[in-house]
Amino acid sequence: MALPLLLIKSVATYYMFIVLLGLSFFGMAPVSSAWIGEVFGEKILGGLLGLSGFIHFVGSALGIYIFTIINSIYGTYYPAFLMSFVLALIILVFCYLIKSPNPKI
Amino acid sequence: MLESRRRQIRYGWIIVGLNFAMFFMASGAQMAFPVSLISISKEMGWEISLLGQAMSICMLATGLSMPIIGKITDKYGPRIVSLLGYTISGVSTLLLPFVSAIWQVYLLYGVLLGFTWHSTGMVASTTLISMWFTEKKSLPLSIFQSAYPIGWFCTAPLIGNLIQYYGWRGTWLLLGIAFMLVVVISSYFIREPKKSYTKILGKDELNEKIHVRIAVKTRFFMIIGVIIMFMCGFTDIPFAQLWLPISIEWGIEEVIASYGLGYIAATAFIGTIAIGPLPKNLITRSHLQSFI
Repeated sequence: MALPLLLIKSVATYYMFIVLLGLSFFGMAPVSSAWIGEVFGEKILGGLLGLSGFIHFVGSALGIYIFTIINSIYGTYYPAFLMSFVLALIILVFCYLIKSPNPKI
Repeated sequence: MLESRRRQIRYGWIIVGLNFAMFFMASGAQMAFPVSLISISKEMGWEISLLGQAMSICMLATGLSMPIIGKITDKYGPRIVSLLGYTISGVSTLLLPFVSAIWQVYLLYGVLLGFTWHSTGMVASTTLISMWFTEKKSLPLSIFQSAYPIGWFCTAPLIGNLIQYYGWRGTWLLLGIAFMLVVVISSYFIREPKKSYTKILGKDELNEKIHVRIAVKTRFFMIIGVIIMFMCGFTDIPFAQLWLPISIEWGIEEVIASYGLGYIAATAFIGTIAIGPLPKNLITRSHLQSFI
């Protein structure tokens, strides 16, 4: 929802974007860690958190690379913002698909 | 049994506090390097791009370390792995002010700190805290993991000011001593619980049978993986890493943009803390937060 703010160039939208990006910046980490722990237990939690961390870093490296490539081709980051926005919409659908293996959890 | 579980949760909060302090110091040390970049470059006569390579090595080592630390944690237990990881981070921080060649920066900051600072917190400490809390793991984990953004937010201006008074070597020495003190004190109190009460998948018999290979094939873990890769990877991190050029394209000055990065860290701290106490059914849907 914050991404369309990038289409309006003003100081107000800049700070609004900072707040919205910041609020969502790290929130996923404790939620996913806790949930993975509650579903699979602590015996293999280290391995699973390590894997999810690795996936995160692969995604980050790819994301930064694609952002810079887009910028070097178009001379602007706007197509990259658009790509992020579309991805966010797709991921929103994925969020609704998550179901814990145990209905009690 | 109920009293023993209550006692376990009470001590669990001490574990959260100690791990918070160590992860805060590790995040601070990792973030202190970009702040010290110009001072190091001026004194040593090294190009910024040469020092920037240390940051690339650090990122690479951090990414590679995650599955390795995860495997070691499952094998040897989170207590020993977390203490060893933070000790390596602390020693690297303590030795960094004594460098005289660029390869030493690559080794201490790039390889050793890179390999331990993030994975120790996000894997070993997270597993340890998870062991202490049977249910409602989100609140202690969100408080613990907020050490990362708050370490980032606090360290940047603090290190910037200290460098003015003590120079980059003095500042890193102070940081290293403080880090090691926190690790030494914490090592005395940190331990694993005698018994974990978490029931995986809600069934006792699966506790012994569960394996990483089985877990990663579940639809649950696959969807979580897709979200982590494409949401966190393709939006959060590129915006943070490329914040300065993005801000400049927006027409914002470089100095204001660097403050903006601090504000992102501050709001990230608020966001991370706020999500913990939410009820579980709401947390499930709070993945919507990522949509923002």
